[in-house]
Amino acid sequence: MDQKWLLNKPKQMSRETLAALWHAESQKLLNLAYRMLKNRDEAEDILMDVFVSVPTAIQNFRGEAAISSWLYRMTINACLMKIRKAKRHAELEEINFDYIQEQSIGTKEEKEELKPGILNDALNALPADTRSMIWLKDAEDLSIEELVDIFSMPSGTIKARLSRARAFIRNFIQRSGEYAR
Amino acid sequence: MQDKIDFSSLERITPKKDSFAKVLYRLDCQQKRLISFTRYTRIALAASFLFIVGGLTLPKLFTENISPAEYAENPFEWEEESFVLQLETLDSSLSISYLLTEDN
Repeated sequence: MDQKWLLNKPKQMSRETLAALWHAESQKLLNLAYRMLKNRDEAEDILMDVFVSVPTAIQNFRGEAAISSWLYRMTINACLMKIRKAKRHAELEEINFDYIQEQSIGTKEEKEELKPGILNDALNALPADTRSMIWLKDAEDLSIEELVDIFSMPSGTIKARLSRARAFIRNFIQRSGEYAR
Repeated sequence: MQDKIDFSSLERITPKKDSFAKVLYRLDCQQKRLISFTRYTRIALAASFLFIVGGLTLPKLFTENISPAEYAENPFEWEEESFVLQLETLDSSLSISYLLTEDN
């Protein structure tokens, strides 16, 4: 997407510009948020939050990176914030849930296991930021340079993380196959 | 890259149809809030300015500056006026009430 016209008059971001950005990037951003949060509705909320903040946040956009990288970074940050909040909430919920469960049905109750696709499980087993990194690289075909812009990390670190994540996924799938036999 | 993982089998989702309309609605609401905020801030600032200006100019309008020549022409008139104005203060009313009790 040509971003020169965005940089000329960033203070006058029109509805048409926002709509053009939406059409170009919303699906990719939504899938990234969905992979990070594992929840469609929450991913939609994040996508909307990101686009609501675009007209004001664009004032700080200097055009050093591509606009898509900038949007990816905003989405990743918003997702990580949401995950952190949810973690704190989940810890409290877990304590309460354990207490309620022990009181009502006893501690030896077996959990029902859901079995979606192994690849999905493997991806979901990774930490959220690594998940977003491997998703952007392998599913969205972003280059290492773009990932450097998005994650503000040296390319060596990114390559190492990607390599470890791929090894983890392959290992996970292999182990799941062995268990299935 | 050769060792790339193939995620093409994973589900891809698309934004809901009304999502962008919701974004625009939220932006409209933000803008309205901003406009009303700036409007009320301007009103408050104008009121403060008027208050300060009024505070500075009104006492000057009601206080008559007497030139020495005017005072020399009719000193009693100015003394009387000054005394009447002083009556409004607490000290003068106390002294008057003291004088009244002395008379009784």
